[in-house]
Amino acid sequence: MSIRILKDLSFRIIGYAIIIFIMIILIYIVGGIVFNGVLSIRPSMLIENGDTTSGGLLNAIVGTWMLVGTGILFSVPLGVFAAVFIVEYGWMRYNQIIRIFTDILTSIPSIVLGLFGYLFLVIQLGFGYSLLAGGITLGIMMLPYILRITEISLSEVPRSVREAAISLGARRTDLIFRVMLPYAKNGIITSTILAMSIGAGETAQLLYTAGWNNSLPVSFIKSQVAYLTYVIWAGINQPSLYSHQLAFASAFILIVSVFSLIFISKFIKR
Amino acid sequence: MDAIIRFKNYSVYAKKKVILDNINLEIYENNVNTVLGPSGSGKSTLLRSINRLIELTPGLSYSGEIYFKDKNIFDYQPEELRRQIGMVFQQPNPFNFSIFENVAFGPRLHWKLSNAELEKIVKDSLIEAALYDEVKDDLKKSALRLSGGQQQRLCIARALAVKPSVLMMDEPTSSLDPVARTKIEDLIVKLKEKYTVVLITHDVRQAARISDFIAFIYNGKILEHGSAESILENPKNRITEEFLTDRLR
Ligand SMILES: Nc1ncnc2c1ncn2[C@@H]1O[C@H](COP(=O)(O)OP(=O)(O)OP(=O)(O)O)[C@@H](O)[C@H]1O
Ligand SMILES: [Mg+2]
Repeated sequence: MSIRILKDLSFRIIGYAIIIFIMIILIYIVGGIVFNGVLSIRPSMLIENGDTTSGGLLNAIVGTWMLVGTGILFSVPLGVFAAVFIVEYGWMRYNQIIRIFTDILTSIPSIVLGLFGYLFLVIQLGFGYSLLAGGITLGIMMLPYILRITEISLSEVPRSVREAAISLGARRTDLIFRVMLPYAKNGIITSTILAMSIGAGETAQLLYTAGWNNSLPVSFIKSQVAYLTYVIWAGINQPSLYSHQLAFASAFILIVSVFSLIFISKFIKR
Repeated sequence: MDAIIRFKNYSVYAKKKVILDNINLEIYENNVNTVLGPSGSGKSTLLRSINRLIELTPGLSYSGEIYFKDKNIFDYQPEELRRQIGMVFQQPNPFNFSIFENVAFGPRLHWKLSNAELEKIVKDSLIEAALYDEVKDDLKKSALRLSGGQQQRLCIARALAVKPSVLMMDEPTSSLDPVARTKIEDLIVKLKEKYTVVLITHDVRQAARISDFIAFIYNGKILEHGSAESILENPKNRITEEFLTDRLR
């Protein structure tokens, strides 16, 4: 055997070993969550409110999606609007600046975002721990994903298609609403789902902005919100077995929802 | 002969290049007006000037005038000008919508229509573009699932749906097979009864088959313009003659 074949072979073996190692870790984590989750979850958890040591998870499940929904309501219109401006109104020139801006936004640690949310939204604007404070903080984190994917989808609309619309007498607004956005629709939906699945798994920024509530929030501001990642974070620190079961059930529910979201997004043709 | 479009000393410049050089040309109503010339001679730029589509290309400047129906094209709203002067491109470019939605796109931009009115326009346009019989049971089908030739006729129907008086076609058959090409050529001859056709081609045989008038363009200049027979049988310019004999050999 020549040195080259030996080298090639050893690289392959190392490669496979790394892949298998990563797979094992992944299976260990996901398998552990699913295994513990299935053992811990009770039907009653899905229909009762709880306080992380007793009762169910309904308030946390609904609260999570209310927070995510508020974040989406904040980030999707803003992100799509900004993407349209970049692509359609010649802001492409500032693309570099906007890219730096979005890169910074994605790299801000979520705890820092949470601190901002606390100082500005909770205190300064007086929202208190609330749906609006938590949702907007999530939305700020979602914004760069929505913006970038929408921008890419918009700039992928072929020139020939734009020219077809313009040669039929389309104004700029017609072009945007009747051609560009319909063409970018799948990109917008995909980025929304991605943002939802990322948002659902956030903890740090919500600790500062959403608080906790043993039932559902009663208004957008000054009414605290429960969420699943809090149950995981708090429950595992409690001594009781039931708290641990609530935590594992929460992790299981989160993983199932996030996987389903990713699964759905794969079915949307780009 | 009535001229519906007139170029008056019209030129287009890129940074260091003259793309169209002092064009004086008349386009005659209800005829097939062909612009013939080699690649890069400025044919597309000439066409895109008429409906002001070149305004989308940054870095070009123009001088001189173009008149459409005796009114300077810059005195029209660009949207209204483009409605009246339809355009079909070299590559079929239907929208990624249904057949119906493709044809309905233009009318929806310009008029408030009832569903019945819209359906009538779509049907009439598809009939005029000789596509209706092939798609009438399938108007909800995606336009992208049509063949290339069908897509091009759909693009013609889409352009006709906004009731233009001029239909400009930039090498409409160059991406099509001979059968599809013949269909579109037959269609063009029929369309001139109702519309003024401006056709771009570098195919001399095609020009000979369907043109009433031919302008020969070379390096941004119109070297010769006249009836199709006079240009094809009796070219006055040496470059025109060379181009014709070269392409017909
Ligand atoms: N935006 C532009 N900037 C600089 N030069 C340009 C621009 N657009 C076109 N040109 C040049 O102008 C000339 C004419 O282009 P045009 O597309 O009108 O030619 P054409 O006759 O349609 O060619 P073809 O048969 O290949 O389609 C070409 O040499 C082209 O390179
Ligand atoms: Mg061309």
